Amino acid sequence: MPAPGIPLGQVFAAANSLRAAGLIVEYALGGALAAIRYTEPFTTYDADIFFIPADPGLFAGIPAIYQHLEELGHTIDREHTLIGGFPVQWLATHQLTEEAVREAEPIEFDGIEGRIFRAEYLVAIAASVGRAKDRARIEQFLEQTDLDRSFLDAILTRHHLSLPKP
Amino acid sequence: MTAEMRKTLAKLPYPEKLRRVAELIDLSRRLKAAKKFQASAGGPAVKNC
Repeated sequence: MPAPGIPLGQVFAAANSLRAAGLIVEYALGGALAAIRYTEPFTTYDADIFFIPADPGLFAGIPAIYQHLEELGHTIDREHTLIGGFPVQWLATHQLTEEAVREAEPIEFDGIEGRIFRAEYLVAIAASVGRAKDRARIEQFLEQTDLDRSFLDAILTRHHLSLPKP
Repeated sequence: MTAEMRKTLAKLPYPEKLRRVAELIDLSRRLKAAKKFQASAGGPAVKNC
């Protein structure tokens, strides 16, 4: 039975441990759970942790990462690790997401230091993916969040992206 | 829900928003379990909204 609430502090603690062990260079929370920091809450069933791999190989050090997490007492369930009963996906960064990790903001949750994507990067990543739910998310950000438009425009220009037409 | 109400929700503190997300997940799981129970008991199918 999953623990009540979303154990984001435990997720950050696990990521901090991976960084301290040298298995990842840096990380940040992205995806829907990060978006909820800026928008109205909505249902999501996992946490996406984007990481800059220490191992630049094909598998981005995932086997060693999963082994370390198992040693910490977390379990593996297909593509997710279960941290405090909550599914967490570990995603190696590439270009735009790597930049998003480098520019991420510090955050504290349950007394644990972590890192989270800036709103402007979440919008740019949604624009780069472009599914219906990403377009809906962009609309949410535009309606509900005070975005730094010049910062967002610079990201979009640098990565040859544009926002969907309303 | 109006756009204004959504904006108000967007201004809630992050831990409070995550508490609400956990509630939504719990609600969704309960609904799924109820549907499964109804289906196994041969009751009327619950239509997805």
